[in-house]
Amino acid sequence: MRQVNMAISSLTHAHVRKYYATLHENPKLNWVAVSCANEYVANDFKKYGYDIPIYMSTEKMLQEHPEIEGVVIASENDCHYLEMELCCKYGKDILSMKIPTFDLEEYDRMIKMTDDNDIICQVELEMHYNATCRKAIELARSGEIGDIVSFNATNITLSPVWAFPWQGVPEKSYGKRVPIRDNDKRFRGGALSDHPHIFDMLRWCTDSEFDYVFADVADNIRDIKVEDVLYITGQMKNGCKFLLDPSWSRHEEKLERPGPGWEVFPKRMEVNFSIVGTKGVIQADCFGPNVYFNGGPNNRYTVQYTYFDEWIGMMDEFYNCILNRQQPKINLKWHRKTIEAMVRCYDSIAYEKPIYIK
Amino acid sequence: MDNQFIPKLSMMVEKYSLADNFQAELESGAVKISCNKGNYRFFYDFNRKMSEDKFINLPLYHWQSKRRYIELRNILQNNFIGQPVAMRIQHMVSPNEFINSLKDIIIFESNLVEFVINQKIEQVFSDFYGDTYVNCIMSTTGNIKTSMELGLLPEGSEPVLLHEIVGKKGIASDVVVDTQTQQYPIYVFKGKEIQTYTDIDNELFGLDNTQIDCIRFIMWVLEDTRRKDALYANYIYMQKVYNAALKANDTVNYTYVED
Repeated sequence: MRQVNMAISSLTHAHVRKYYATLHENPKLNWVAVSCANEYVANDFKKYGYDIPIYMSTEKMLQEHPEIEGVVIASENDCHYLEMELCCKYGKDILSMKIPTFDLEEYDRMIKMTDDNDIICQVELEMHYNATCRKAIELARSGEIGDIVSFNATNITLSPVWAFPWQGVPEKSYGKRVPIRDNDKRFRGGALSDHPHIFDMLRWCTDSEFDYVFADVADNIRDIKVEDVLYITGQMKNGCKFLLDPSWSRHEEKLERPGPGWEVFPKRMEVNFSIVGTKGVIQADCFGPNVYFNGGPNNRYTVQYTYFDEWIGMMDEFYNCILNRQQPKINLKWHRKTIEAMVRCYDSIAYEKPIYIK
Repeated sequence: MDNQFIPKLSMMVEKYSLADNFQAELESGAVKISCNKGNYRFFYDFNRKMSEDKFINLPLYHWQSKRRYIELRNILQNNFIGQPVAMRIQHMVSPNEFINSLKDIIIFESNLVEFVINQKIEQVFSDFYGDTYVNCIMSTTGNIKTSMELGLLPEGSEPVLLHEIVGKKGIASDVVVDTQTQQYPIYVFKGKEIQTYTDIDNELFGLDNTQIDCIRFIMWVLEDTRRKDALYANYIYMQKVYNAALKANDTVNYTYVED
């Protein structure tokens, strides 16, 4: 079996632990090296006990290991462009985090540079590899509930800002400091910026693109600079309605390293669908049912998840794309319309009106 | 097992490089495999007399690969609920390919108790109602008490399944608070008709969940075939647990498992 040589850069993204496990366990992947954004991250990585060379510069890592074929760019959102540029320079295929950038002009330059350099760039939208999500959308698309009238979804989680502080820094998560709206102390870059999945699922399920979005933001439940609770409604170009909840509405303990006792509400992360059709309704819980306990560090009733194998399918696809030199299903071009819709949701909050998308 | 089972098992063995020259076939109540690591018959019909041939007979404890039970065990191993003292089990289902008799359920649940709490069952009290229902209390080597309501329901019945562990600091359960019935990841509501779907494993998408567990269990054995000896020894012990249950029913005594 041909192995693909992989590296992970920066290690500051909230999903990075998933990549540690996947690269360690998947026999198709040979984990060559990591680069760390800073000493704190490097020391944290060492605690996991993986016997993997550590570099303090992504470019140095790529120079020292020309055998690397693919790089998981696991960095803060505002670093993605520079890291993609490095990967293009050294001819490495890319697994991008879920938000390549919110700057649409920069996004177009990312598309061009990966195209120009014949780089495979897959975007990490792991819900495509969640079996429940896949089945629910297959049922809806097959006409099981007739024509789809409305696609309603939640992607509600606790906030990762205490463990991954950059997600609460507007310049790092959104790419620049943009007030959420007039006379509001908050900035773009919070919960919405963390939850592209349901926008993507909506496009996948309806086979249509966004016509308009209308969004409004609640008062924060946390003392942070970015939004944490918001709702979005709108319509797709085919007439399908939608209602989305991409909030950080689940409370959390302020842990610096995610672990037992992180959640306050029993379930720390949910993706739920309510797909309404002319002949019925599909209700889906993409991460349930599970098992449950009270106890743990804080003696709270807690969900112990029994899911989370999405990264296996995602990395399998990345592996096959590298081997066969083909662009993945979730590539930069496909994902641009999701990112644009998210930006328009921020615009809708700012202007307090629906925003139509051409 | 359906016609996807063998191709998907073979695909996973190849994907994870678990064996060379792998071949598999189905027989009634069992899966036979041959590869460079040996010839094995993984059986899941616990009433059937095993063939004596070139295949090594091993019980197919598919429940040990079910994520919900693995996570119950993890909750204990991570000490989230403290020292366990008791476990409450309900397992009432309509007969299916994997559960055909009370013996199948007793072996399933007795082995699951040992798997989750990592102790051997030592003593059994049981009270059977014919061949369709039994109440049991079992005690382990570490004095953990387990109550079991086990039965076969009419065809088409919703399953009644519960696994609850009582610890000194908390409770772990595979049924969410305030519910009595099984929950599903997907419901489709169409008038009076309600359909449910159970897809949770993307790598083996499309396969029934118990068949998925069977594949993952066989993979686990192939990862390290030295596991086979302990596995077979445990099956012999489970037969003794079952015999102790029969004897307890006959004698109305709390009966030690003969070892």
